[in-house]
Amino acid sequence: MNFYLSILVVFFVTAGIYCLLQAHLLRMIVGFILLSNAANLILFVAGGLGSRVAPIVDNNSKVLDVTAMDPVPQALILTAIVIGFGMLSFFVVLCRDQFQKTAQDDLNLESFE
Amino acid sequence: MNYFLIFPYVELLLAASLSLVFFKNIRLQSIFSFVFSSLFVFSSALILFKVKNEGIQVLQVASWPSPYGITLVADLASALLLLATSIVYWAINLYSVSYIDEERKSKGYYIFANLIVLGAVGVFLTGDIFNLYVSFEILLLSSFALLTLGRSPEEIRQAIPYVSMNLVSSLAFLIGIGLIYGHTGNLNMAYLSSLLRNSEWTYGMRTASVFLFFAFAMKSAMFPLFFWLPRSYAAVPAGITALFSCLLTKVGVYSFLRVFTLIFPIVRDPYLQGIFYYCALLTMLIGVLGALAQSSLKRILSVHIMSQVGYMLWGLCLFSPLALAATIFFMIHNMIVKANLLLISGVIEKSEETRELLSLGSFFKQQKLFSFLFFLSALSLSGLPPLSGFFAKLFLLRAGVEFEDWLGVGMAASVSLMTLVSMNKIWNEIFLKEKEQVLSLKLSKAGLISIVVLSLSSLVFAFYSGPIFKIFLKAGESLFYTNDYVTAVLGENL
Repeated sequence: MNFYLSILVVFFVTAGIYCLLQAHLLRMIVGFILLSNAANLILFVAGGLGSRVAPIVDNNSKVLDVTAMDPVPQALILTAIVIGFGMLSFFVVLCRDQFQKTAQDDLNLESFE
Repeated sequence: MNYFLIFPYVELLLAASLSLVFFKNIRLQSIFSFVFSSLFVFSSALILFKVKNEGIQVLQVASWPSPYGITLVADLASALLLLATSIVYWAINLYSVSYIDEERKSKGYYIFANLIVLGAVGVFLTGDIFNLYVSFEILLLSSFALLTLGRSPEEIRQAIPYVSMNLVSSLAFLIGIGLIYGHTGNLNMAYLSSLLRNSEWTYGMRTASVFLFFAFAMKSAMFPLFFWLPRSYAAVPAGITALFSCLLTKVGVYSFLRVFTLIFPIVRDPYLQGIFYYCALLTMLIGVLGALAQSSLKRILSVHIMSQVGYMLWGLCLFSPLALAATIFFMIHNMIVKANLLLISGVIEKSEETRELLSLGSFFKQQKLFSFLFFLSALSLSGLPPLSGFFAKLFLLRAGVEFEDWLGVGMAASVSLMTLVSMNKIWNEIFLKEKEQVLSLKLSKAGLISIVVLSLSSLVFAFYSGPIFKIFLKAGESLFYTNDYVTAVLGENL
């Protein structure tokens, strides 16, 4: 499972960077979505995968069962998703503003200075 | 429990949230900001005092024991940077009363200014690497907001590369964190340090260190990754540029200082250190050459920031207690002097309505005191004795000579000469050149006080550099010998 997810991460990163380098506003947005999902997936894989039980300590014992899932990466991913979403929405608004002001989606065509 | 470590967070959060509550009342917002930033200065002075007398201060939030809970740590390096940040922020707050336009203020300038400093405080005081990431994001999001507050086409055009490059670097940071967690199962920096100290780095950890290296290099505007800096810094008013110059790149350099001494000591990876070394020297050189080519006041100053970052990175790369101490000294000197120069450039810009050097002139004849303040900071930046820049560069060069790194020493000395040339250019064009027109300098009292306070703190830095540098030497030692940090955070048993 880890192996397939790693391949997926590689694919996401490659596609994300490719989209970013196009310098079209819409493609850049798609690139960001792909890249941030790649980062989240890496955090996800870092916790270890497999069929484990939920990390809840039952009444009879004082420590977690060894078969329990590591809860920390899930908290990390949750934080990362929220932050990534906030950043992405800011970027989308920025792109909309740029598009409204120049009526141009392609950053390469637009003159600098 | 050292509850006072939480004070800076509380003050800045209160200032930001109260500004949000009284969103319509700009005057009240500026008062809140001023009051809380004054408190911020006091509490960071308190933290520095405590750290200096009692050693590294640690706060385990909610009393969760160390490698599992959230930890706030202040050692000398972070406490010193915290104090410098608070002083500069206080001055910028005072300055922005009359030099930030009403439109930006009505769109929430005070909220974002407080939040950006909150992010920097988070970076300085955090003890685990995920919180470092979160604080970085707070800092970045508020910097995005500050950059686009005016919503002019120019600002938005410059914001797109800035935002996208920073998003990429944040994602690289996150990937590095994921790799570290996957290999060690913990993100506490002291714990990671004790774990990695005596073992070989695995390939996973090496990859993680390169990802972090890339992320910090982008944030601190290191040589091949600096393109976002000059344009975006020049697009905003000078008060905001001063805030950016004192926080954004310095926070990147601080993360380098923390992560690449504590977790991945840079000397343990000669290959990465080699890349770091040449990139640092090229950052110095290209920054100053870029500044020589510019013809607008704020562009010169913003491009210069890169050249100064090169010095700091060079100091980190040398990696000895003296070099690390000199790096922190240089950072603080640069925060104060650069902010001061940018504030002065803001005053000039506001009164003349232009940034181009050629259309300005005759300032020295008509404004003696003001010209003198600029003169002081400009000479200090280029490192002439007896000002603070001289001592900052002296200590760095001494560290370089100790390592017999003649290439670095030669580069640092010649770049410093070129800095003088570009400062001279500003001086000749703006202050000495004869111009018919009489100017009316719009220098408000608050603006003058903020500039004078920054100039004075730079002078204090210069005249007491001997005793002050002793504290910095201790800070450098505590960065170099990580034992104290690790035992302070984890306790004796680990």
